[in-house]
Amino acid sequence: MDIKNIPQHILQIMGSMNTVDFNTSIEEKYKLSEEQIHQLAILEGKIFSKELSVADFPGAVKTTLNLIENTTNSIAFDVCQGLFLSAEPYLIGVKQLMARLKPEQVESENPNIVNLKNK
Amino acid sequence: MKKISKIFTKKSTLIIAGIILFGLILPLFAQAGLADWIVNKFYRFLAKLIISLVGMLTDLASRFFEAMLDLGFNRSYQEVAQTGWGMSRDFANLLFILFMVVVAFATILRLERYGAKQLLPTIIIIALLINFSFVICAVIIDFSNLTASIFINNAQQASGNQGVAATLTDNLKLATTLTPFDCNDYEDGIENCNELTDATAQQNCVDAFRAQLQTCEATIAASQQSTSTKDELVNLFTVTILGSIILLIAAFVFFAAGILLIIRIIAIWFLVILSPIVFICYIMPGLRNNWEKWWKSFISWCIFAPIFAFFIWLAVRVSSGPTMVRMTHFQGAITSGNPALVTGFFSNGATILNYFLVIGLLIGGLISAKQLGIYGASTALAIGKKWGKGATDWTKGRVGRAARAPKEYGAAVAGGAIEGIGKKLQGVPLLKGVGERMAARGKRVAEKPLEDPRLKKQADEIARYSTPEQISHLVKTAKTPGMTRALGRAAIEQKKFSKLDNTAKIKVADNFRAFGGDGIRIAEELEARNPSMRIDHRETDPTKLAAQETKLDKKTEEGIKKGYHKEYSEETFEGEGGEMLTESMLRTAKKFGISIDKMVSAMTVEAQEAWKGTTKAKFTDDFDKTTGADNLQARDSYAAVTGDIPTAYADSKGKINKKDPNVVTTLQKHTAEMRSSDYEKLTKDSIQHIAEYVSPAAAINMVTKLNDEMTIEFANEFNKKSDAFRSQLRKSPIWAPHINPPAAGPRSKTKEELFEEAQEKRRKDYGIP
Repeated sequence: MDIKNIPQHILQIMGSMNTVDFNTSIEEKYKLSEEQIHQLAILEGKIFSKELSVADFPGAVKTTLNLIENTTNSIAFDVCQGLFLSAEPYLIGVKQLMARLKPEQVESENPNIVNLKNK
Repeated sequence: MKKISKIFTKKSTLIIAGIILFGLILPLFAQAGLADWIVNKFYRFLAKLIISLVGMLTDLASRFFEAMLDLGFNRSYQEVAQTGWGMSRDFANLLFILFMVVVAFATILRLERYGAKQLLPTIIIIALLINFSFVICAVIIDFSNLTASIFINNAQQASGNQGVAATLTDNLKLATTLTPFDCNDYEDGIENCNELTDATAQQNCVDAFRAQLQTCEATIAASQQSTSTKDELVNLFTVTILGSIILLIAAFVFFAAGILLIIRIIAIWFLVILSPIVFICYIMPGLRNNWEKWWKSFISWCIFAPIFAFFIWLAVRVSSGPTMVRMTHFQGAITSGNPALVTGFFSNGATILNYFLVIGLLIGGLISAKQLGIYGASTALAIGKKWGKGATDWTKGRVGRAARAPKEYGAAVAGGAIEGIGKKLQGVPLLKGVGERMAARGKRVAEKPLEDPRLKKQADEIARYSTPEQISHLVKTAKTPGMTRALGRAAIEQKKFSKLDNTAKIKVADNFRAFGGDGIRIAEELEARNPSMRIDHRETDPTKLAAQETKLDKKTEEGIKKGYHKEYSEETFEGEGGEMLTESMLRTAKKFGISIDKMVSAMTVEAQEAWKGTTKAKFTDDFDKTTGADNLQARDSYAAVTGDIPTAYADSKGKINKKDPNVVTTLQKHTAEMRSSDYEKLTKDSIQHIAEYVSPAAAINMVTKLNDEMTIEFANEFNKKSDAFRSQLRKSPIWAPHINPPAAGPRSKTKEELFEEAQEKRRKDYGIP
């Protein structure tokens, strides 16, 4: 990673305690191991230093962290939303990736509401 | 109302101030003819008037006390209580029905606390006690009164049945003091002799009075010859004021004691009347605290009587004792104006001691009442304390200064008094302008001797053209206090005072202090500005050194609080004094929690430069004696003043006391303030030191200021730290590639391995091949 070429405001995001806290929340949410979250942090660093493109992020997560498709997409979406979006003018294609990864809206399963359309 | 009382207080203060000022100024104008007239007529009249008024008050107070003493322990005034008690007893009996109903309901509802099983025995006992409550109370009161009467009767017998208060007044010679006496009274006596019908008796009477008149006139003439008019005036004036205070104290004690006795009677009546109602409260657990309060109060009032009576008895016995020195000197002093008598009274410790012993015993009675929680006792003592404080403040402020100041400072004292009166007048409506002018004038008069124009001019010239060593020499050899002060002040104005040697500095400060008033303030300021001036040399004895340092730190702290460190110059930190001041400032910052950052930022640039050099010298020492085992404070102050943190921590590894709770805080504070260029200057030693104490959060934040090489350097150090620390850093996108995983523990087994292990066990258990 060549830190010299990274803009200061991006370095601030990378070196922020908020980023570490965010990664901790991802670790807890998806029950990731110590090694998996470490690898995720390295991947994030690669994205910020543009060693890896944003579009390739889900694939890299899947391979490096050895996860199934759904979990990979959810993690990638969360990281895009919580971390990469704030660096968007610098990182290209974050919103497009998020649109692709966006989880489908599940309709209400409330038993008290009768779905008249299906009846 | 409050305003009126305020004005009244101010006016009364003015009157007293006026009398004191009059007494102080009068001797200055004393010329033979005029002063004699004043002594013989006006002043003695004034003294008599004041003492008579105060004396009448004391007489009134003692009569009141005597009357209350008769009333206080007498049982013949109990009809009021009996009538009231009868009414409340009948009411309490009615309440029984209500209570029985409550108990009945509680029994039905199975409320055990209020049930019949719990309360019925109590109800029966209380029902009986209510009707005997008066008798019960009367027995206790009688016991209390009887015990008290033993002391009072004994005291009265000791006084020859003339009355307790009368005996006390007589023994203190307060009564005779009420009628100021002079030689003219003998002339009245001669005239009264004419009323005798028998010629021989008349002649004998006239001869006796004439002889006494001659003796009296001879005594006064002799005393007037032996003393100057000024001394007579001062002595008489002092006696009048102090005598009034003594009489007022006695009056206060008598009044307070009398009032407490009245309150006691009323309180006991009140408590007896309430007794049936309070007894019935005992039945209900929820109301029982009322009974407890009543009982406590009742017993307190009953116990108070014998205790108070005991103190009165003791006062009478002590005052009638053979060792009691009577107050005849006092009375004689006022009436005859004989300075020998005045001196006799006020220089005789035993006379004053005996007076205060008797008064103290009576006040002891009041204090014991307060301890028992008696109503009114606290108020009485509070009033006494307030009066006492007022008098003390006045004495401290004006009379005290007059007494302390030597004669040569008369103008300053008079000026101070004028200033004080002026300030008081400012609060009086319509006199504000006069008061302001008077205060300003007084201040000028008071300060005039501090700034003698002739000496000031001379000293200014000397200070301007002399070296600090020469000024020090002149100060040390100056023969007059005025010249010492003038030189000291000139040295301050020329900014050379801090360079004077300690002996000279101390001489100047002591001289200002001896002057009193503003001089004390100047001396204190000089010591706070130059804390090291009181420390002549470094002690070798550790105990003495510690005491010396504590004293120095106190002065330094005072100076920092007053902001004098803003005025320190480069020279302040030079030499032995400067070295000690630097050490003291570092210790003070640590001990008193003063932020070095704030202290430094408040300093002048000149002082900051000096501080920078001095503190750098401190932390580069191998062993820093300033702060004991470590030199963190010196490093901290250097970092704060210069911003050059790498230099401050350059050789810090292993040289800072790890137990110091400030290490982490200080280091992290400075780490947060470091810039990229600062990190580039860090030595390997500093990196190790910072890595040792930095927190994960600080480490994560610092990474943005590091270049690639520094990141790797720090990562190498962080890899030696705990798993928890590394675990945090491994979640940071920048640190993650450089930080090693936690130490590998035993790997958890996979499902396949566990299945295989179970199969193996089964085969082994059942002997399956």
